[in-house]
Amino acid sequence: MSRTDNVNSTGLAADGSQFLTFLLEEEEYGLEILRVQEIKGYSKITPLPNTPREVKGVMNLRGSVVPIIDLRARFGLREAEYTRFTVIIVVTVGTKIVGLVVDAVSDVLNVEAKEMVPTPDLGAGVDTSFLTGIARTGDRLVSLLNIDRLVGVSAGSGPAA
Amino acid sequence: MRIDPTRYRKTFFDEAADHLAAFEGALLRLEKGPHDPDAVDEAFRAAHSVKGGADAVGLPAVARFTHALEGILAQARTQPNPLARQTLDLLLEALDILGRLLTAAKTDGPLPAALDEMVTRLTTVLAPPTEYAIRVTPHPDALRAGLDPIPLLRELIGLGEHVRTVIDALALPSLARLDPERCYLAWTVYERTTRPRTDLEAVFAFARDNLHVTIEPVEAAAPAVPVAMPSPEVARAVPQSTIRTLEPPSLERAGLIGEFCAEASDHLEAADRCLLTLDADPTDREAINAVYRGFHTIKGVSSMLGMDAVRELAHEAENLLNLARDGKVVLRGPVLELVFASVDTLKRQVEAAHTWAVDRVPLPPDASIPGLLDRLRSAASGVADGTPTHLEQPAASTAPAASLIAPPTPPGNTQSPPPASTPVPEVGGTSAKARKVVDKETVRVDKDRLDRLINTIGELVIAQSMAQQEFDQLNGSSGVLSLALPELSKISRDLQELGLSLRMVPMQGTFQKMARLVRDLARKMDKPVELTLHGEETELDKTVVDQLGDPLMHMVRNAIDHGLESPTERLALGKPVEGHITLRAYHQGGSVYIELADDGKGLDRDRILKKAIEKRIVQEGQRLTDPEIYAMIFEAGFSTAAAVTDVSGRGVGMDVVRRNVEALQGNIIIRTQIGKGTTFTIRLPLTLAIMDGLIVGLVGDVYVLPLLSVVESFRPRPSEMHRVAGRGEAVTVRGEVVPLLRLHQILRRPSRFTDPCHGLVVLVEDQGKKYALLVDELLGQMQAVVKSLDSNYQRVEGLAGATILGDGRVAMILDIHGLVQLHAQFGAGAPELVANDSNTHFGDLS
Repeated sequence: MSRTDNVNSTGLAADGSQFLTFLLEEEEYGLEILRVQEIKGYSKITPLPNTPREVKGVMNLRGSVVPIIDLRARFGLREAEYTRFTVIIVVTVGTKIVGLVVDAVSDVLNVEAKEMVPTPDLGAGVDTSFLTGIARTGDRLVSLLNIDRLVGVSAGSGPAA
Repeated sequence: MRIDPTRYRKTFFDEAADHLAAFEGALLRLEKGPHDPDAVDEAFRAAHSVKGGADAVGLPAVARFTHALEGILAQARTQPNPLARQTLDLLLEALDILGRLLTAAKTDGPLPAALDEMVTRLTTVLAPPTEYAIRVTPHPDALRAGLDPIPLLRELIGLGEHVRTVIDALALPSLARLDPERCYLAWTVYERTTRPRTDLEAVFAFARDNLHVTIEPVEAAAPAVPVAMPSPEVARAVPQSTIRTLEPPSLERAGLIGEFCAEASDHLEAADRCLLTLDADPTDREAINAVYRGFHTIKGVSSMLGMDAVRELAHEAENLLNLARDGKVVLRGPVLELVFASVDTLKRQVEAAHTWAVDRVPLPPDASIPGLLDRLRSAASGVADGTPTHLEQPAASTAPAASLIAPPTPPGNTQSPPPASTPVPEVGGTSAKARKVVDKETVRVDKDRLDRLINTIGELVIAQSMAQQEFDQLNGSSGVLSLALPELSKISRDLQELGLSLRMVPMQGTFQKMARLVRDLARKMDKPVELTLHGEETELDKTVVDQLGDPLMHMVRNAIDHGLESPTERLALGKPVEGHITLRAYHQGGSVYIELADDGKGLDRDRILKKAIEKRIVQEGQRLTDPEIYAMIFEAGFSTAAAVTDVSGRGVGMDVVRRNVEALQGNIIIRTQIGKGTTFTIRLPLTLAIMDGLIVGLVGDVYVLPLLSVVESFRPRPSEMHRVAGRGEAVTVRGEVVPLLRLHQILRRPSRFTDPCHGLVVLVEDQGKKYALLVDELLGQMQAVVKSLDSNYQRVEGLAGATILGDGRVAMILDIHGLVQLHAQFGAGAPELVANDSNTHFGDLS
């Protein structure tokens, strides 16, 4: 619960924190590092029938059945072939464990509070609800993801009819 | 700081728990056969050990309490006569308080409220207390000698009930001549105590040189009555003020309350059971005692937890039971109803208390409590009024404190005890019979931990089979055999079986609830019903048992309301007036069967069919088998009842029944005969954690079908395939036309065969209807460890869950009912759906 304590009204961590960054179609995104349980290489995934497109299926993670969500599909990007560099970031969302398929993991980033800016309004066409903000370090721009919203929304939607 | 004795506390608590158990065992033996010096010895030793240990680890409150306990037993050891019934009750009560005291000490919680009262009662129970006048005159130089008389006086006062202290200041000089180091005062302490005089003298044993003590009994003082008398007033004054809404408890307390709730429910359940026994035989002393003890324990704990409403109710109910114990009240008719109502209300309040503790919300008292209290009180006092021979008893009936200690008959000198203790030998006789079923020792385990254990075992089994596969691959052709792997396999399977058996609980609790329901409904509807229970000991997974109560309840209601005719009808039909309902549970072939049979009017096939056509569930002229027609009563809103009563309207609850049973992967079979009765048989898997499954394949995908719903599998001939206009495809199986469901179509996955005559058809059953499921191939059978999808994701239509295969892959477990519904949604959709984007990237790689 300490996590919510240091989040101020803008939704940004007040005193800075660490993020795991990953690449998705050349863009860099950040996930709060405390939410990351592990990083796994791609392994066998059993498809889940009649679920949204981004839900690629489920994986056996040491006896737990964990859903795998493709972030490219989630963001409506062109879906890529899975290669041996394809990586699954296993994160915790509440009591649930979810795997996220990304292009590659890049870095662990320390972001100071002053380096974070709230998400700019990008117009009606762009859904920014699952971003907590943007971190600017040097000349890099990293979009910080609100994992609960990102996965919660997709987990809440019913199966594709 | 000195060496901290608290380090040894953990050991002490562990040991104390054992001692307590031994103590309780000894007391219960004494209850059965009072002439058992060994049991007294054992109880004494237990109390003594706890006392010594408590002293050593610095728990003075525990030591003091056990000292009082030990006192009684020490005296009992020296006496040839058995312990009186009241003394035993008191000891049992004291034991409970000791248990709570230990818990409180362990958790640093507040001391039980009843502690001091109990100590007093323990010390008064032995003999009528004597009042002593103890005159203490310190030597003038006592203070100089280092003696402080005040602690000694305090100790003295602690030995019994303090009446008053008179200070003798006659020797006090004027201030000018006062030497502050001299002692001028003398005291006379009036103390009422059951302790022997030597105990009083012992207080001053080390101060003999410096003070002069005389101890003399005060003759005029009345014995115990003043001790006991104040409590009735207190008890009477309390009710108005205590029943109020309680604030949310503190965190530590919430834990204790949770424990209490679990314990209290057990007691109430047991009480229910015994009340049913009493309903049949109101004189069963064993049952009365058991109910009494239940109320008593609840009263004690709730009072410690400050749950006054519960305490009050338990207290009044206990009083009534106490009268029943003494034979002054017979538990039948309205009185028994009253006790039943008390149990119910307590159940509700305990349930509410659980929420109170868990969700930390205020706890309002149950609305029925005040009325119930009044009725309980008037029931108790009415009895006392009606029997003027027991003129002293009204006071006792409203205050258990008084009834337990007064009259304080010392065990030694009552040879002709009051009526209360006459039936003692008889109790010993019946209890030997009643307690034939020996309680097994049990340990309460957190359910989460148990689930984790079972999950971990499941993983072990999977890991073991993966290891086996790897080994086989590595040594496939070389013919090398492993000695360890088969051994490991056997052990892990044993472990799995054992793990699952941990979750198995007998049906007894559920059956008992039904017994109670039958009893209540029979009364309500004026239909005498005799219920026969068989196989209550049949064990079933706890999760299954928990979800079975609801459907069973609906079925029982239905059976009584609609199944059984009214007594007049029955008489006219030449049937016995009393309706018969049999509830039976048994194991057969890896499943559990629960059977509910009534000897009522049976299901009217034609009437159901007519209704079904009316409701457009079936079309006129449609040919249906009898089971299909009977299964109609499970349709939502289907009721053939001429009049809907407030108990049930045949069908309202029945769809709930089927849904619940099918959610448990079970099914229901109905057998009925007009005029003879109906039998519902529920078939359930032993556990939901493991499922026997049939593995089927679609290209690379592997799915598991619950074996329970599989009828057979076959490859149809082209001549057996039909296209029914507008109603999709069907297969003829031995003359029966069964709709065809293409699994790949429903799941939108690729398949190798789209022609059923090349693939394979599995005949499955859902809600009494058959379906033909087209798959590519059969891959085998497995015992699937069921993993839910919603633990990390959500429920997916058509899937009952997932399981992990021997090679570590995840396979989906199919939910036939869900598949049928999906099929209905899509209609017999276009085969084009098959290719639709389902060949994902994941599919490519795997």
